[in-house]
Amino acid sequence: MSRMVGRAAAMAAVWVLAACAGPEIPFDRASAPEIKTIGVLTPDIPERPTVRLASDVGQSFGLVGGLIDAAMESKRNDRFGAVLIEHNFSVGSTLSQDLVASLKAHGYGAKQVPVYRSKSGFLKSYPTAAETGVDAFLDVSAVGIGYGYVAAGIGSSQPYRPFVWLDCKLVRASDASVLMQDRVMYNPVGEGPKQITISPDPTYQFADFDTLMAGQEQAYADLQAALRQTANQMGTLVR
Amino acid sequence: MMLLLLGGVTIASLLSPAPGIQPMFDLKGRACAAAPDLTTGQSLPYTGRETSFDGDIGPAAPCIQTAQGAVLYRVFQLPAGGTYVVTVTSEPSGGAILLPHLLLLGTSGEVKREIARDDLMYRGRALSARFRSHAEEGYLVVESDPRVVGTSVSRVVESTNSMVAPVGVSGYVTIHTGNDETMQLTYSHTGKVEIVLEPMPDPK
Repeated sequence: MSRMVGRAAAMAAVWVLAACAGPEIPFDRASAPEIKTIGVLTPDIPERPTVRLASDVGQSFGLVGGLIDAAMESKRNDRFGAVLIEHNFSVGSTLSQDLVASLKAHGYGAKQVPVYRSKSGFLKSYPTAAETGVDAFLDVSAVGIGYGYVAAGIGSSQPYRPFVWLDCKLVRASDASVLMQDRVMYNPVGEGPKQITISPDPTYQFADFDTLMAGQEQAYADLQAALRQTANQMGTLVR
Repeated sequence: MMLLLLGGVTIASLLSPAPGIQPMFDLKGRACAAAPDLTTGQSLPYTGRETSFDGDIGPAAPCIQTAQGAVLYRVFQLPAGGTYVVTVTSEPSGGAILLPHLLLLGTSGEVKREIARDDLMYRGRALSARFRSHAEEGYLVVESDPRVVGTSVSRVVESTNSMVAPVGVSGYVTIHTGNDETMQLTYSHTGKVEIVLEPMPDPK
């Protein structure tokens, strides 16, 4: 029961979390010519996806409605999460690979740098340049629930579409100074004026959750594409 | 029934065009210069605090003939000294939007930097470019982009609304609804543009 209350509170908090973006700091490659190799740190992102209904009737009925919503969301998460497990999908690994590929496409040397994260958010301290052999670190942290599928509401006119919500920060390895910071949201629900928003591919849609599960291979592929597009956007931020 | 809007983002506010700028998709018949007239550059006074400036490009804006075609443009004189952040934001207006082509010129008019099309990103519903100033750049030129004018882009926008409806004498219920809309925008030579200068943010 307490787990459900916590989940209901977390559902309510996600929009608040989404509103608390840090400052957007543009990268300036001309003033950082020494940055040639970037280490992609193990991303901070929940391993399990979320399949969220952003608005429904249950939300109008206080705690009880919230608990019912949380229970239904938990079942959706489990069912779609099982699809990802069947594919041996690791979101952290996939995102890291996508980021490395994007950085290489923009002319950098890039490699994954494994780190242990004791809590969510950007790292408080970074590895040294000497122990990693890179000039800068790309630190990526999920915004709220991070990734999965979301529908604005009930009905086929409000289909489930993939979402990926991430904060990113480029940190110089030699002195931990911040070279770039921004928020990239693939399919945000409600658009703030500051975050970079990627419109979802209109073909990536499922009329309802049953349709999504019936087309789970496509849903899996579409989610991977959304992750890749978000990583590519981050690569563009540091080119 | 009286409904009180509580929060969230209304789809109407997302999709309503900002008023006032007539879209323009063709510059035929306009006599265009070969290069931008830097003497018309609007000064952007900056005192070290975030300051925004109107950068609208209307149908009466001057035009130049570029290798890609005729474009409308405006010139802004950048403040000298120190590093600051420049944000150029283009907002949808009347179902159209300007895809700004940005050039940073030296004080003699030579091109020092070009902001690539890929560096323009949607932030919320507006297209924007955000970059650091360089000491050797004296002018910012905002041009329309003839390579895309007349073409369209569609964006899927999901949002939620919350409204409070009274129930009985003193009760109320919060009603949550969602929206999933596709916004169609056509690239125009004209558009609503805002330029913001601000100090380098402190990272958190």
